[in-house]
Amino acid sequence: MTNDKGQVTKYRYRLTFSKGYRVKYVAHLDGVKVWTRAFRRAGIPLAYTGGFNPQARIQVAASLPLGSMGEAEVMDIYLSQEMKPKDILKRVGSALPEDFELLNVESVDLKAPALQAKLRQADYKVIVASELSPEELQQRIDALLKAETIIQSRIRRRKEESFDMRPLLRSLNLETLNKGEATLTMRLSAGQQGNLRPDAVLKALGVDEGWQQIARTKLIFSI
Amino acid sequence: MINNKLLDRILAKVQKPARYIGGEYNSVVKDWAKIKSKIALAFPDIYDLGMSNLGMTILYDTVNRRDDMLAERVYVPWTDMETEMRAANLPLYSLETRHRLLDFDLIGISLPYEQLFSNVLTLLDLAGMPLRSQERNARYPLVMAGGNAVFNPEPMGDFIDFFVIGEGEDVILEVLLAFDEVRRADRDTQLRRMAQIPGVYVPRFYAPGYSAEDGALMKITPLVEEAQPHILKRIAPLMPPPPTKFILPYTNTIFNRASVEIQRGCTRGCRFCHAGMVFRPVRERPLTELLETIDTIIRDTGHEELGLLSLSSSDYSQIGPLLEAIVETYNPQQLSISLPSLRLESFNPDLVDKLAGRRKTSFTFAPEAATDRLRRVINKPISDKALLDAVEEVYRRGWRQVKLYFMIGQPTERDEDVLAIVRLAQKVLQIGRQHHGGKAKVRISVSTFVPKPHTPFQWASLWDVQEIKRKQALMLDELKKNRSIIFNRNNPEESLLEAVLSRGDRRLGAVIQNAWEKGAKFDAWDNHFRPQVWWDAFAEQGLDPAWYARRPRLADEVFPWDHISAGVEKRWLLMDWQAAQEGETRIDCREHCYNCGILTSMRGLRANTPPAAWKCPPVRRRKDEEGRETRRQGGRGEESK
Repeated sequence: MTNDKGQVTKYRYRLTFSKGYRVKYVAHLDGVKVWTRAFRRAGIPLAYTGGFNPQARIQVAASLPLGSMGEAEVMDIYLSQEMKPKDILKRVGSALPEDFELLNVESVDLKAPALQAKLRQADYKVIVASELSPEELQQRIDALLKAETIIQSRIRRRKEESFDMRPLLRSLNLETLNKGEATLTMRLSAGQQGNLRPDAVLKALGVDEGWQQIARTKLIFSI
Repeated sequence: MINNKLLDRILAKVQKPARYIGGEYNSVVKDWAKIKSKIALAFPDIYDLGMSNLGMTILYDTVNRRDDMLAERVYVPWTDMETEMRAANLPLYSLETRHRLLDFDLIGISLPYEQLFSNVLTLLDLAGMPLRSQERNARYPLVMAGGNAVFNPEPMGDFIDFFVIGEGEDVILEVLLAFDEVRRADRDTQLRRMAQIPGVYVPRFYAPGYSAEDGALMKITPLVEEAQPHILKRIAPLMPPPPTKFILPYTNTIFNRASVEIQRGCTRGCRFCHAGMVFRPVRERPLTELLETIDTIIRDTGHEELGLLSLSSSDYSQIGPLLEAIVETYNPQQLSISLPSLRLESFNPDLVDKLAGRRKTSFTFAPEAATDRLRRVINKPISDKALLDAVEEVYRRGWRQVKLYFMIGQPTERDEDVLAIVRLAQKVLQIGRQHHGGKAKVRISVSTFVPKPHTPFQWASLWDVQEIKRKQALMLDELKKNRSIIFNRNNPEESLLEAVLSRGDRRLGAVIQNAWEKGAKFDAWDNHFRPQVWWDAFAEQGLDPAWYARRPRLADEVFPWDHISAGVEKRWLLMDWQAAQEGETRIDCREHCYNCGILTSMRGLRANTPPAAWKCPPVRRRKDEEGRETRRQGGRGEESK
């Protein structure tokens, strides 16, 4: 692969990283910038796109909604020179701001499909303020899971539209509920074939009004 | 510390919450309990603007380099966040350790321009402090302010405990050390101690006296022994090591780049220019230091864009070698360079071309006036030919848009001067069309001249708002809806407010507070600026904005800033004002010294600074009044001895 500067982009690596509590309010594109600059500080030989305004070749599997943490997010980066994954891990790891963490680096075949195309599902852990009793909340969860369809509205391209979220809701569990805070785990469809955000589930449960803390714990790709 | 969980809930409800979280790469978080001297550096506008301010970056770096001091940042929250903070009773906090502003020893407010004044009140109020200096005892942090707008400190004198005049690098440390001596003392003692620091002005120790006849200021009298009758600005005699660890913002800021000051000051002497007068003398950074700095900045930040800052970058004596070295060392992917403030006189198209690489969007020149006569008046004597030749080079090398800055409402201006701006833009467009056909564009940005303190034009009057509007309409009419010439103008009411706030006296404190109470905030933002609020506030205080901005001034006028000195002497400013009326120009003062006074007032510093560090020309001898041969100014003459 070459861009119009004749620069060869021969090497591709898959990075697993986390985005923690303090930086959950950093927007997706600003987050990409944080990473780009960290790579530059660490002296990682990033490959750039050609054209008028060259951009570092970074592909993030899925953007995190503003305000959500990510425990195991994934991105691919392209380099113009080969590096050992453990060297990338070490050098970038020490060039990151607080609450961004690089967890794993592995080499990937250049021809492998794009991450976005292979993403299927995501796991979330959500803590919400709730006045409900554990029984009541459990009943609502059971009712959602039993329903054939769950029609919700969402805003897409500035238009309100309704959609059925039931097929996108793969699992939903109440882990704990004490002192007015409920911990839920859920597996939701993610990616190009259908994407559901955890706030839609909270809304369907009627627990979306108060304080909440959302963490994406895992991204699941097709093989 | 503030309640973090409360903050977390609020952040979920506001736009761009990343402005309020701190923790950015290169921000400095020190152990609060172990540091004695603590200052909050406040920029009275939102994060997105304040983060691009180099002055804040320099002071943050200066203080945090010391082990016994800490500096943390604070910005004014945007209106949605302000509403949420007030509703939740959450006080304004620093970004680094999230301490309340009340927990700091000092709050240092940056005031680069006057439109930020109302936001200072928001800042103090959100911090939970009384607005007026006299209402705050030693339980509250000391509130200091510095920056270009405080060369006339009087309008903000009611709110600020003390001002620091001039460059802050040295004096900020002196202030922090002095505070330590009077940490447990009462407020009066603390302020008397501050007043002893050169460059510090404590307004409560000075009483303004007004004429019973017309209300004009007669004099400002020091009230205590510690108060110096004249406050001379501070400067860094040698450019201190530049900051390299720029904080990387978590949201897009107006200038999302690192910057390095290649030189400070400007020798061109444009008569309208506040910065050109108050930043004298010109000091350059050595080329090797700049190249090392750029390298370190890239390593420390990973920035993809770097600004080479100066009031007139192409006047930097090593600009050619500097740009060549940059082009040779970094490819455009690694680093794009922005080089603002190019002077036509010293513009080198080849270098700028190389620097731009493929990013040729828009190229800017600032002729400021369009007729030779007016250019002589303002002392920016470039010729149309030089401008058009430069424009030819720019279009030929692939730029499609040329941007031209002009000012209207300058002293002695006639309609022909205003119309000439349009004609010049049309000529520029013609050249553009030869190279790019219908795709060529010209953007003219026409602002309104505001007579600024400490400049030769401080004696000039602001033109009437209606008159400025008429001049703008005249231009618009002459443009005849030409879509290839984009015409930007400013709101003349904004210029009127700027003129009054920069020229006013102590009585403006009541107006500023009244306007703020009526909701004035973010006056630098077009969509927030509500002129009527201000005019109502003036009326309620029985003051007339036009009296401040438009009244003709006499040669022996007493200005509210006469006791503050930028080093340039008032007698010289007056001579230059008179020269302006005659259309006499003063060339680059590196070539010829006009004895503006900076070398006299900075005599001591000059003697202790290596001669080549200042760009003032070598000594010449002349006879003084008593007939003795004297040195007119210290200088490089010493080298030959």
